Amino acid sequence: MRKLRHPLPVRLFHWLLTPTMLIELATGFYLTNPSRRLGLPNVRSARKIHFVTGSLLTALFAAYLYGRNKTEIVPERRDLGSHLWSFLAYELFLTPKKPEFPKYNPGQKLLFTLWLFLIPFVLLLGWLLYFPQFFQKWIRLFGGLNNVRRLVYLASVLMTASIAGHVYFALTSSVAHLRSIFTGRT
Amino acid sequence: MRTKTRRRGLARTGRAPQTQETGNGRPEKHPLVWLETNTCHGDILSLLNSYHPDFGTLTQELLEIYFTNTLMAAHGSQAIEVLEKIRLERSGEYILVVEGTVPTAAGGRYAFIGLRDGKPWTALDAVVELAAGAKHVVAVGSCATWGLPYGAHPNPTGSKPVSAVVDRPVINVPGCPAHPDWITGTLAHLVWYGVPELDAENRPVVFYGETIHNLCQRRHYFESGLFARKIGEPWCLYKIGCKGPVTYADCPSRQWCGEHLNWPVGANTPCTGCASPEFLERTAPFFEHLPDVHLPGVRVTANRVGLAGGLITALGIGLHLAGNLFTGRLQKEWKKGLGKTGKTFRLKRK
Repeated sequence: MRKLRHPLPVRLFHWLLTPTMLIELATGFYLTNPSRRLGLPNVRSARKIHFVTGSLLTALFAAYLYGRNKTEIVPERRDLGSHLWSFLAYELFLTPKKPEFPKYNPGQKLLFTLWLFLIPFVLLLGWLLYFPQFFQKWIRLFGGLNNVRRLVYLASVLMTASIAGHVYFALTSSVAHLRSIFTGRT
Repeated sequence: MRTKTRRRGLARTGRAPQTQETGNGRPEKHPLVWLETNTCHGDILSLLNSYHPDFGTLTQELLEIYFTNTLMAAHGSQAIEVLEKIRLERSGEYILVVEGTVPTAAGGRYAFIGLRDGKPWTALDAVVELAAGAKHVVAVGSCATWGLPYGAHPNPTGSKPVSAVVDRPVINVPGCPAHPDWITGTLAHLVWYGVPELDAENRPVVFYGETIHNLCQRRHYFESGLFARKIGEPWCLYKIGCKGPVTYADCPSRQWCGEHLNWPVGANTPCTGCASPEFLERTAPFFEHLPDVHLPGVRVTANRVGLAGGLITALGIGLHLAGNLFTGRLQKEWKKGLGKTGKTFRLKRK
């Protein structure tokens, strides 16, 4: 019997989050620089898709915060010390020996913790842009509407880069772990 | 005939309530001080271009302008005496309008109003002292309301908006310059009805209640994805830096050039967001969609940051993948993973 790595709710959340996040990022980049090459028919449709998906993402993230055990994704002291060095040594090809970690390696933990802050940050800014009159005082805290747009764009670039890294490592580092996000077991 | 035209013009701004009359049957005018500090004088010139009511009607029927250094005939000590007199004798009655930023560095000595008792009277002291006795304080123009462009980095004069130097609420009427209607409308409202409804930035909602983007005649081009690629094209100017989506003002419906003839987008140039609190530093570059990103020692466009982010990610993944292939790790991992699957499959068949 293979070991259960990802229970059903976690997998369900992951596979709901994946298309939601991809649609949100794609429509977001389209709204920043509308181009027919991105395949969306027009800005009106892109805006609708973006904000419907944004609402879904907000609900998903709220459910995640309520249900998920955050302790296993937040780095511990050793993840920032000895574990991190052994992880980096292996990933930078300084040692051939693959280190073993309880569930997530320090890189994954840092990435998931980054998302734990980045996703609500972008969601908050997105809602500020959606209700600019209602949130005028909040918008002032972030340096104004145009600055909020810039922050959303830069955060989305970071989000996209981190997702690309996540997908790459998921596909290359461990087939067993990759399988577990589909079947639950390694 | 001239008077009739003026009266009709005044009526078009709204129904004026009963005003107190002086002994000679003429309505009592409200005292006003128009103080110009660090400014290009664009807002007082904008006021002179007002039509409904025009400047003449405004001064004959609504406001008694005691001090404005661009228009008044008096100068030197004579002018300063008027200012001092109204400050001391009509405290709590006059409206103070400030146009321009207030320099605060070097004790405010970057701008003088004039000489008082033989000593320079700084704009900073004048604004603070006059605001203390004013019935209402109105900051007109984006310099006075947001502090820019004089307060832009590195801001050697320590220029600040009026709201940052006075300890009382300030009504903001931004714009570069402010539209004549925004100025006269706000002043008329103050005289007739008191303080108008203001938003979180203390701007009158009647003029700044909606974004330019939402009022724009070219909004349907935006929704349909018809964008101008260069200035002069008659489509939505969003992609070449129009700040309409982030600027609250009624320019599209009110329009400019005297009798509401045209406005920047109507002339095929993007809105620069001059009425926005972010004007000028965070609405520039004017022809870029997003403001620049300031990195240590370098300033780059947001698009280049996005492009660099993509390239760095692709390069990092590419190099790591090459390392994985070169060392045989990837082949080994996939062989191990797929082999395990095959073994499991065989075990199940047994």
